[in-house]
Amino acid sequence: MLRLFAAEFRRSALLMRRYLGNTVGGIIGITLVFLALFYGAQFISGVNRFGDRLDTLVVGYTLWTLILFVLAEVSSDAQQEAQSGTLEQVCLSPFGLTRIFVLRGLANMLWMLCTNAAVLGLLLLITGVSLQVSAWVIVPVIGALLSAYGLAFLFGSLALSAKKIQQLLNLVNFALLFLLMTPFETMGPVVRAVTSVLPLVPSAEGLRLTLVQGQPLEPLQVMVMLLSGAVWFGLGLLAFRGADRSVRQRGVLNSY
Amino acid sequence: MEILSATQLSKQFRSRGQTVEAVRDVSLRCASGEVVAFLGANGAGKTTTLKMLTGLIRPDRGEVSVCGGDPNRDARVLRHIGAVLEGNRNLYWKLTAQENLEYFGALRGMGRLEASRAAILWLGRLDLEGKRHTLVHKLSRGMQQKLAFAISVLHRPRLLLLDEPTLGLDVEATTALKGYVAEWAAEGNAVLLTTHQLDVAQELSSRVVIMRQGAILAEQSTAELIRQYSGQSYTVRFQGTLAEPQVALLAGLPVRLELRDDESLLLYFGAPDGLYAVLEALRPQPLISIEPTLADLSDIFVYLNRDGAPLPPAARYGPLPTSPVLNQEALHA
Repeated sequence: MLRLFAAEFRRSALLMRRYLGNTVGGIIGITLVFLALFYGAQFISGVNRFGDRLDTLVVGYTLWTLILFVLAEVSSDAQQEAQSGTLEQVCLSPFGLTRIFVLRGLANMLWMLCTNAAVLGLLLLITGVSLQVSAWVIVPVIGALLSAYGLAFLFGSLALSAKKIQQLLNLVNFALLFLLMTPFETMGPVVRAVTSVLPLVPSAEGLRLTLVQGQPLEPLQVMVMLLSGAVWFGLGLLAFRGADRSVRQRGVLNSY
Repeated sequence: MEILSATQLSKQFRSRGQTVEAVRDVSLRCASGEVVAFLGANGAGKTTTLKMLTGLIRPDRGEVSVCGGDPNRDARVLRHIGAVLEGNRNLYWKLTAQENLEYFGALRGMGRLEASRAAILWLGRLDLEGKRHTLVHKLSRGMQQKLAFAISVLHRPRLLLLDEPTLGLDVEATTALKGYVAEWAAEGNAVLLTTHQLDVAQELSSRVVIMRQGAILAEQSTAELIRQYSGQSYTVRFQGTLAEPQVALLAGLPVRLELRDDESLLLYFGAPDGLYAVLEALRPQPLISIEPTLADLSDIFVYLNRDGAPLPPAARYGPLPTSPVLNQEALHA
């Protein structure tokens, strides 16, 4: 397993290095989109200062871009491998497709975190926002990544069967923006309880609490975030394994 | 020692409300040191069968055993299998030759050092050492195919499945690849090969399995099959154009026609006394010559795959045969 992880890590590092321009372009692009949204909103509303909301916007947007990276990863990988013809060779591995894709996700995550840290740094520099960084931040980040990978595997299972799901992913991106940027915690206990079942919502709330308001997390909050992440991750893996079995049964693993 | 044994594999596909029987009751075996040529026209079910042997397609019925385990149930069995399924499409085009080998080695359970050493060894054996650090998309088609072969044997599998390994290769690359396959089998491994290049199959294989419309039509040792047909085939040269009743008569006989304006050829398969019925059908065309023919695999394949040749009933292919089997019904139609 460790050998396979090392191989996946080397492979993603090689591709990152080989396509460095693409990576740097991505960072600049994401930052520019935020600035366009931010200054556009300022111009339209006529409000010069967003106050605390700017912190929330920066955190929400950074998390959203991280989730977008993660979300598209499994499905685009499955789709590209089916298209190029390598998916069947990957499936001939005794490790199994699900395990390979999980380890590949872990390897890529490290690079995604670096990219995201660069985006966050740029945004903080440009907007002048300062965030309260505490050790607690690790909990919502882990919860968010687990949920995001769960969703990624859910979409990956769709991509294994249907191959082309780009249009669906585009729509989901905006739904996620709503889930991540809306402060459900300010809408009363009932809304908060109901929305905490949704993927990523508890972690986004945790990030706002720790980074923006500088508050420590309560044990119940920590539990909800990690449990939510674990459940969504588990659901994603189950769906992916099911899709793997199903495409082999229907003989459409490499169909594109 | 038997490395592969597949018993009564069947697979149906459903598409747009229709059910297609892709493979029915196919049984195969492949022993250590053996190269089995798996032949059939496009759509005969060869690739589906090959993929059922690796777990890439789950059979509806039947059993697969590779070195004693079923890859459809236990993924660890895949350690014993190497495959070239889509030739150069089986490679990562954005990685170099060496990086591809190391990555696929890790996917097959090899350590980095072990995979790296094996990669250098195989790149040398395949005359690709100069292309070690070249991106795959910059390699020629033949080089990519060689690399795909190297990836399939890197982890030293006992069973090698090759689906059209010489597709698109020039003469030199084909000759080289034939050499590697023969060498691999000689080392005590089993090779199952599908190809439309029947000269390659004839040269490499010790046994031939011919498939048609999802079922096995014939299974026999290559030498025996050729000997059997060579003893029972004649080439008849004649002149003139055949009338419709003559063509209809010949359609029911085991013959293949090559009609030309000046001189036509008729290849007859069957017992010598059956030749008189063919000559009767040709009457009154002027005959130029009648010669016994040394058949090759191409002739036999075309003959067995001809339109109207009877298909084997599914029930005939029960347990694995203990001796070479040829569907005599198809042969003597």
